[in-house]
Amino acid sequence: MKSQLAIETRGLGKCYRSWASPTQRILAGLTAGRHGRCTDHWALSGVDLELPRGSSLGLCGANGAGKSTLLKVLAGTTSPSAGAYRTSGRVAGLLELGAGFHPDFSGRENVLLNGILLGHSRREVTARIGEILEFAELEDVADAPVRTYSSGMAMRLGFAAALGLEPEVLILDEVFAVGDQRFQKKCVDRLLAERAAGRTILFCSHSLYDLRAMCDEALWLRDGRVAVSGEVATVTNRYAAWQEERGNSANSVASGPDEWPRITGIAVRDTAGEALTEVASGDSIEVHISWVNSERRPIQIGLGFMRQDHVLCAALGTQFDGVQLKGTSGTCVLRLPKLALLAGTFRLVGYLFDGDGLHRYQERIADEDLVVNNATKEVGLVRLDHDWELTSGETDDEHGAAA
Amino acid sequence: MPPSPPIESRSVPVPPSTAGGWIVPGRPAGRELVGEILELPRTLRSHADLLKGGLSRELSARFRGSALGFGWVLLTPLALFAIYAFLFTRVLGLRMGPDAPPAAMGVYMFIGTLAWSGVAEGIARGTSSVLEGRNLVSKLRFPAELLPIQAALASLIPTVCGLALFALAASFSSLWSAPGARLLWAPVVLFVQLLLTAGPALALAAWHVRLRDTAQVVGVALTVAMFATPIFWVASPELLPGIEPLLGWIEANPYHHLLQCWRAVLMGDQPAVVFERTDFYSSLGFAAACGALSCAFGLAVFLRGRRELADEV
Repeated sequence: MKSQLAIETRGLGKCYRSWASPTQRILAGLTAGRHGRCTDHWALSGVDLELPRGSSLGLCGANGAGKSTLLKVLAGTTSPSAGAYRTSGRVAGLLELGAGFHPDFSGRENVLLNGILLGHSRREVTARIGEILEFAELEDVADAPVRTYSSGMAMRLGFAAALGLEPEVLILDEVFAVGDQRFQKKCVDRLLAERAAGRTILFCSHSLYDLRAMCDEALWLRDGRVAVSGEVATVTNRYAAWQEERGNSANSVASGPDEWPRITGIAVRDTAGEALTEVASGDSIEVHISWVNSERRPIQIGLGFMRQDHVLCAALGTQFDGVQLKGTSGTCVLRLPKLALLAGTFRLVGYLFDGDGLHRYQERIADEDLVVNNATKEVGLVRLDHDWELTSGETDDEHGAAA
Repeated sequence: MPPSPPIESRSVPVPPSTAGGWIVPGRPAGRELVGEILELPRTLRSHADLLKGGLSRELSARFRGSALGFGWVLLTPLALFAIYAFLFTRVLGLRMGPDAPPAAMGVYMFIGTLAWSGVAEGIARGTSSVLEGRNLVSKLRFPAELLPIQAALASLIPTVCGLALFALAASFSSLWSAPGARLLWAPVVLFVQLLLTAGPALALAAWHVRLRDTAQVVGVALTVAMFATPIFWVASPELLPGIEPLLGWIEANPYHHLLQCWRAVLMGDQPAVVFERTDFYSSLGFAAACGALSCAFGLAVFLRGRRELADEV
């Protein structure tokens, strides 16, 4: 009997109790809890959650909001203090990078250990171990103890071990935090593939971009409770708005009062000013970025086009073009004649920098992705402006000149 | 005592039990606890690889970087035996009564020391094992009871090596008469020793996680126990006239019976003065019963609080 729900929780809560002193604790132990001073901290309370098989849910929330606690409870490394939960299928948790590895065990042994703890037989794990080490790119050091690994290597091993045994439910905590860009991309690709293959994914991230890229649904935890849950764009936008209200955007690097400059909206329009979400390659479009800067700090505004698999395809900025933004608020219009992007879905990310273009005040994702359709038959990312010139075979003159 | 949830969350309808795969808070008790205890053989079987790996790692870690390596497991008891034999028989001329062979005192102490040091090491290491394995306990769904059990298993290895060496030496040299057919009981005695080590180790490991004074107390208690158990002395009023009123206490000590069993297995029944008050089978039975009880108690204590371990280590 397999439930249609991969994860189900009812009023789930987790309390951490700290004792005033070890003596108080002994006192409590001896008096069956009637005496002894302690303080309870509810890291999580009243969380109701239903996650159908094959769905992906992202958790967002400020530091200490209970995201990691929820993941830890669901991954089974800690027990709930209130409520109940159940999971169906094998659950693999990747909770802290490189954690869960025994430093003295070799990489191979750790993968084996991980697999056995997940409920696989030794034979099943052994059969896949080569594949796992290959994905982690650690074949050469598989028999060295994990303590000799760099943090990046341990991260790779953890990721590969968690995914390599094809768990039905994957629980990931902020996994994109380290590792080089290339491997990060490999991980994202793999996760997208896993999602496409119908695995259930539950993960938390501070990167609203990652959440939107990976998840259908999101859940915003605030002080251990569910603040909003639902469709990922709605939840992340509300969360981002709340953060901006608090003047403490985790999306931006800075934290501070309301007076920090910020981007208030990003919209794509055609040359006539009509709002657009779908364009054809070669169309001329405008991106309107509204901003406020009540303290008249020197600021610069940038816009990035990010493909779904985290490739930053283009990034433009006022600092590169010597444009000055003046006043306390305004809208800058970025005109893009003959859009060179080929077919794809692009996420528009607005950046608000300080005057030197070094410090990022804010990173804001447009509510709508930009869908580009091909008008021509070229493949690739962009259509380079070009023409062809033909020369006859007798001359060595080569001109594949760009116009 | 699980903390009571905040008022608001109490109104949510919550499945009351673990039926239907629900995982609920609270400590297992009654039938559930018994079920978890009976689960142990299965856990051990499914994690046999881990245990084996852990044991070999523990051994290799202990001798890593030493030229003799595993040889130390054999060399240490050999040196002990040489010292005891020389000191007590040659230098001090101690004898276990007029009829006892000259090496008897040395052999008696040697066997006692080897077996006891195994027990003591297993309990001491087992006590701190969960805290030291916090990486496994807090980050993975690891059956934490394996850690004290692994420590207890590891502690058997030097004992086994030392005693095997003695049996060999006794068989092929004139140091001591060769062990008889009772040697076949050695695996049983070893298992009893495992029970008597793992049981306390489990309970103490669980307590140590909550109260870090436990390991200190254990250290002191083990030292006291080492002298309270007849290891360097013989519980015989003939040899120690003042011991008479304490004999009842000594005979209630399961570790005394364990050591007596080892001696009976390896020394035969002589010198008589050592064995006059104990019978091999009843000693073994008593030690085994105490071992089984201590294991049941240790497991119950450990498993009851296991779900909280991850938050405490």
